[in-house]
Amino acid sequence: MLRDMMANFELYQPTAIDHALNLMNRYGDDGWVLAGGQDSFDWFKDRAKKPRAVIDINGIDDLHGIRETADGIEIGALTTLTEIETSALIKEKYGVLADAARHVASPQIRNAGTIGGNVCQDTRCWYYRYGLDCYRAGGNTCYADTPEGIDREHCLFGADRCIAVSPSDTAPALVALDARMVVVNGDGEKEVQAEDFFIGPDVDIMRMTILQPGDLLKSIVIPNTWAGARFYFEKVAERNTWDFALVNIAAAMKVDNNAISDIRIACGGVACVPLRLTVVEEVVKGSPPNGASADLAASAATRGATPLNYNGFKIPLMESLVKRAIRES
Amino acid sequence: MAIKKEDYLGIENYKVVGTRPIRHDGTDKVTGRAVYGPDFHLTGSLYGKTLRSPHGHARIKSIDTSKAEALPGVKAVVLGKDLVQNYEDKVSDLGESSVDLRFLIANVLAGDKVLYDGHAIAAIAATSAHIAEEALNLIEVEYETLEPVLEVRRAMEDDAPLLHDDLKMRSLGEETDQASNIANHFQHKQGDIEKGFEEADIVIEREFATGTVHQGYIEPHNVTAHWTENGKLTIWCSTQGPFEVRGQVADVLGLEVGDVRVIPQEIGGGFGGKFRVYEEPTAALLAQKTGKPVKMVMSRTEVLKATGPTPASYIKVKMGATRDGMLTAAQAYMAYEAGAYPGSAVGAGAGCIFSPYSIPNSLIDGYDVVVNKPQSSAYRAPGATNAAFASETVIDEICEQIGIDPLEFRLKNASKEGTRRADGPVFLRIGQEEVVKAALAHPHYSAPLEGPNRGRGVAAGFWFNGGGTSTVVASVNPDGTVALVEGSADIGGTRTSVAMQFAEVLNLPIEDIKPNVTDTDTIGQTDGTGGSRVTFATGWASYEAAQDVKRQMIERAATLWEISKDDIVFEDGSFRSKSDASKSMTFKELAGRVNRAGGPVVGRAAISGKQAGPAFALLIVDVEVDPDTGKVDILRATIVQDAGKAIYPGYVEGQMQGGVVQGIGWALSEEFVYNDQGVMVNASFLDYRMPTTLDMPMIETVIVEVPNPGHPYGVRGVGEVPIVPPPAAVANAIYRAVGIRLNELPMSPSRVLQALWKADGSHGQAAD
Repeated sequence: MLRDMMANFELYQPTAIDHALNLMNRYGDDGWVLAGGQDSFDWFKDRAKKPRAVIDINGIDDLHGIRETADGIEIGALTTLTEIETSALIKEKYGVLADAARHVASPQIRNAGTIGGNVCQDTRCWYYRYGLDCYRAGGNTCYADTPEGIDREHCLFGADRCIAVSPSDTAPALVALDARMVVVNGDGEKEVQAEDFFIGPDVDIMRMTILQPGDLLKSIVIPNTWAGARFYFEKVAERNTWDFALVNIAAAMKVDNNAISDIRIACGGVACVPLRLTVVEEVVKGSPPNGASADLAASAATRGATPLNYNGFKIPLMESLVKRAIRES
Repeated sequence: MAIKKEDYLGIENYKVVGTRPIRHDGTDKVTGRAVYGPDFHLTGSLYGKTLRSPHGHARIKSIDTSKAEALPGVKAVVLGKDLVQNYEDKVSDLGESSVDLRFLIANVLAGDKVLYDGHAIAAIAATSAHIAEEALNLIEVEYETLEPVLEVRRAMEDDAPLLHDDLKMRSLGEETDQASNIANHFQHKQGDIEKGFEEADIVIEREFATGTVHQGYIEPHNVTAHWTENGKLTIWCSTQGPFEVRGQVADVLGLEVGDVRVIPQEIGGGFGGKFRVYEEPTAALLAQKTGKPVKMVMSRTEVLKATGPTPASYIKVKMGATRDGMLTAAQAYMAYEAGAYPGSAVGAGAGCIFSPYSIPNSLIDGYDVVVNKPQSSAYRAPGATNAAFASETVIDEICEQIGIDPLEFRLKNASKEGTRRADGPVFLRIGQEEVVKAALAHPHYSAPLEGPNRGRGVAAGFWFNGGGTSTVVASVNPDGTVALVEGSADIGGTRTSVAMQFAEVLNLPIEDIKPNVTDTDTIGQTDGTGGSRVTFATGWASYEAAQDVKRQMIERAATLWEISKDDIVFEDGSFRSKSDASKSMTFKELAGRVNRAGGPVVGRAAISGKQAGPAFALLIVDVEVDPDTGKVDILRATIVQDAGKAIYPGYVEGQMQGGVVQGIGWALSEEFVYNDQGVMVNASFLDYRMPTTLDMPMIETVIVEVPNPGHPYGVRGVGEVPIVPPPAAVANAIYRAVGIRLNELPMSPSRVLQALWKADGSHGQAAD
C-alpha cells in the first residue's frame, strides 16, 4: 500500500448494457466494472487489485436516473449518491434512503460515487486492504483475528474465518425498505431481495455480494410497501464526515393505534452483511414504540454477539442505536 | 474577578504593525498560481521511486536489483551502500532537533537492517513514475524478520529485542556500556521532592499514554535534484529549513555545503516535519548516476509510514498541593518513543511539563527510547502536548478535590518573572498570569452550560519559542519600493509579518515592500521556519535592515543637499533638514535619486542568538458526550494566548486556531495503528482520522499582549503553543460532562464508550 501509480490496464467504455456484458464475459475474473471509481481507484492505486481490463459503464444511459413505477421506484445503479440525497421523490417517500445517502463519505465523493458502487464496495478491513494474502484475498489466514490483531472495527456477528464488516451506509436502508436488486448477465435479468444480495464469508469468503463475474447490477427497485412509513437512520463514526460507520442503523416502521404494526430494521458495521434484525422485529411488533420496547429490542439485538479483542464497544453502541431507532422512528 | 484591559494588553501606537493588510502571496495561493515543489519540473527529468520495507523489523540478507535494472526505461538504482560510508562521527542539525549522522544516513537508505514499516531500502530512477513503480516490484530482497518492538514500555524491558546492537545507554550525562533501547535517561531536579510531597495535603499520581500522531501536512515531501557540469548540486524541494537541508544533504553525500544549493518552493505545511531529509539525498544520487534531473514525490502512504511523526509516550505524573491551593511538589516520569533512531522530543517535553507553574520542588526523569516506528520528528511544540495531557489533567483532579476553580488555581500558582523552571532556566517577563486573567474574564468561562452530558474543561500550555539566526537584505528600488530578500520559508504568512516590521521603521505602505523568500546561495544563513521563530527573529533582522536603510538614505540625502547627516531627520515618512525647512524629500523622492548620490541603497542585517520570549496559552473547551455512542462533540472552544505583540493579528489568530484544531484531532481521533508485525495499517487520510471542518466549531481567539522586552516590537512566537492544551482540556471537559477520567489518547468513541461501560458497572462483558 505504498503506491500512487496504477498499473496499466485496457480501458473499455461501452455505451450499451449488451456491450458491457460482452466485455465482462470476455474478461471474466480479469475484468473490472468501473462506476464512480471511489472504491476502484483505491484498489488500483494501492496495486492490491490489478485487473487486465477496466469496463467503464458510465456511458450507459440506461443505468442512470430515478424512475417512478406503478408499484414503487427504480433507481439506476449509476445514480449518484448526491442525486439520491437530493431527490424530492426519495426524500418524500423513502426518506431513510436519502438520509443514508447523505451520510456517506463527503460531498465530493457523493457527487461521483454511485448507489451501485456503494452497495457493491469491498470491505474496509485494513489488513485485507493492505494487500495481505488473507482468506478474503484467496489465502488461508486472517490477520485481524489474532491475539494481537487490531480488530476494533470488525464484526460482532457471522465471523467465519473472516471477520470483516459491511461498510455501506445505504445497504441497511435498502434492506429496511425491502428493496430488490436487478442483476443482468448474458442469460437475462433477475431480481434479488436486498437481504439476499449481500453474502457472508460462510457463503463465499471472497465476495460480499452474489455478483459473479459477468453479472452487472443494473438497478435497485424499491416497492411502495414502505412509502411514507416512519423511518430512522443513524451512523456513528469517529469523524463527522468522510468516514465509515463504526455502526449504522436503518429502520422502517408502521404504527397503528400506538402499536408497531410492522417493522424492518437493519444494522451495518456489525457483520459482513447489512444485518437484518429479525429478532428485534418480532420482539417489538404489537408493542408501542416506547422506551420499554426499545430496551427489549436492544437486548434482543445483541443476543449472540461475539465480541473480539477490541470491538466490545460495538455491543453497547449497537444497543443504543437500536433503542433510538425504536423510540425515535 | 474583575480585570482591566490594560492589565494584559500591550501598547498599540504603530501604523503598520497590528494591522491586517492583504498578504503578498495570498492571491497566488488561492488561485493556484503559487509554485509548490511538486509543480516544479525541469525538462528531461527522470522520476524516482523508493522501495520500502514491508516489515517492522528485519535484517536484510540480500538485495538483487538486476531484474529491475533490466526493465526498459530504468536508468539507475541506488542502495544504502551508495551513500557516504567513511563519514566522521558528527551530529547533523535538523533545526528543531539534531541527529547523529550515522542514523541520518541509515534512515535515508537502510544498511543491513530495516527498523520500521516503510523504511527506505532502494530507489529507482526511470523515464516515468509508472516504470519506476513497476521496477520496484522487480527488486528482490531477502529478509530475516525479527520481532518488532512497538511500545515504549516494552522497549525498555530487559528482554526486549534490541534495535541497535551498538546503541549504548547514556544515563544522567554519563556514557554507559549497557546496550539498550533506551538511548538517554536524564533528570531535572529542583528543591527537595520528598519534603514537597510531605508539605502537601493532597497528592495525586496518575499514568498516561499517548499514541503516535502525524503532522499531517497536505503537501507530501518532494524533491527535484540536478547537477551542473561543474559538480554543483541544486535541489528544489518543500522544506521548512533550506539551510538544514543543505547541511544534511552535504553530510549524507560527503559534499561541502558550498557545493549544494537548496531552492525552497512554496510549502504546503510542515509543522516541524519538514526539516529532516528523506528523498533529497536519494534523488541527488540518482541524478548524479544518470546525469539527468530526478524528481521524486512521496505518496500519502509513504508520508505517513516513513516521515514525521510525533512520539507516542508513557508518562507518570505525581503532584502535591496544599488545601489552600498551592502546589508544593511535582514529579514526572516521561518515556517517549524516538522511533527507529534516538532523538525524541522528550527533552522539550520535560522542559514544558510543569512550566506554567511556580513549583518549589520538582523531579523529572526523561527517557528517549527507540522503537520500530519511523524516526520521530518535531511536531508543533514537540513533546509539550503529550506532557500537558498528563500534568494538566492531574491539576484538574487536584482542583476538583480541593474544591477550587481550575483557573483560580492556575492563577495562584502561575509562573512569573523570576520563577525557575523545573529544567533550570529562570523566566524573564512572561505573560502566564495575564493569560489566565484574560481567560477568567472571557464570557465563555462564565457562560451557562446547559443540557445533560455537557462539560467545560480548561488546560494551560507552555512553549519556549526559538531565536536562532536570520539574515535579511533590503534593496531600495528607484520607485521607492523595497525588495526584501529573506531565507525563511513562509508557512504562516511570515513574508508579510516580516515585511510589516520593516515597513513600520520607514513608514512605508506594506504594498511597497516586495518580500522574496530565496535560496541558500542568495542569502546568508537563516535557520529554518520552526520554533515559532520567524516573526520574532527574521522580523527582528528586517527591523535592523530597515534601520540600515534609513542610515544610508540619510547619508545619500546629506550628499545631495551637501549638508551634514547629523542635520537630517526622518519623520512621518520624510527626510528633512533640521536647519533648512526647504530641504525635505519623501522616501520615494529620495529613492529616485540615490543611485546618482552615492549609489544604490542596500540594507542588510544578520542576527543570531537572540533570546526568544516564551509563550503561554490556555484553552477553554465545552464538550457534549453522547453516552450512547461515546462520541465527543466540541461545542465551543476559546484559546487565549500571549503573543507578546501581534504583528499581524489575523495570522496570530490563524495559528491559534490551527494549533487547537490539530490538538483536538490528537485528542479525539488521530493515531497510528500498527499490527503485531509492526505494519502500519491505517496509512491513509481516510483511516488516519484527522478532523475535518465538520468536526470543529469556530475556534474563538483572545490575543494577550505582554510585550517581550527582548524584541523591538515585543514579539514572542505564536505558532506552536496553541497545540499544547487541547488534549488535556478536552479530557477535563469529558470528565465534567460524564464523570470519567480518560488517560489514553485518542479519546475515540470506542475508548469513551468502553470507559463509560466500565464505570456504569451494569454491563459485565466489556472487552478490553
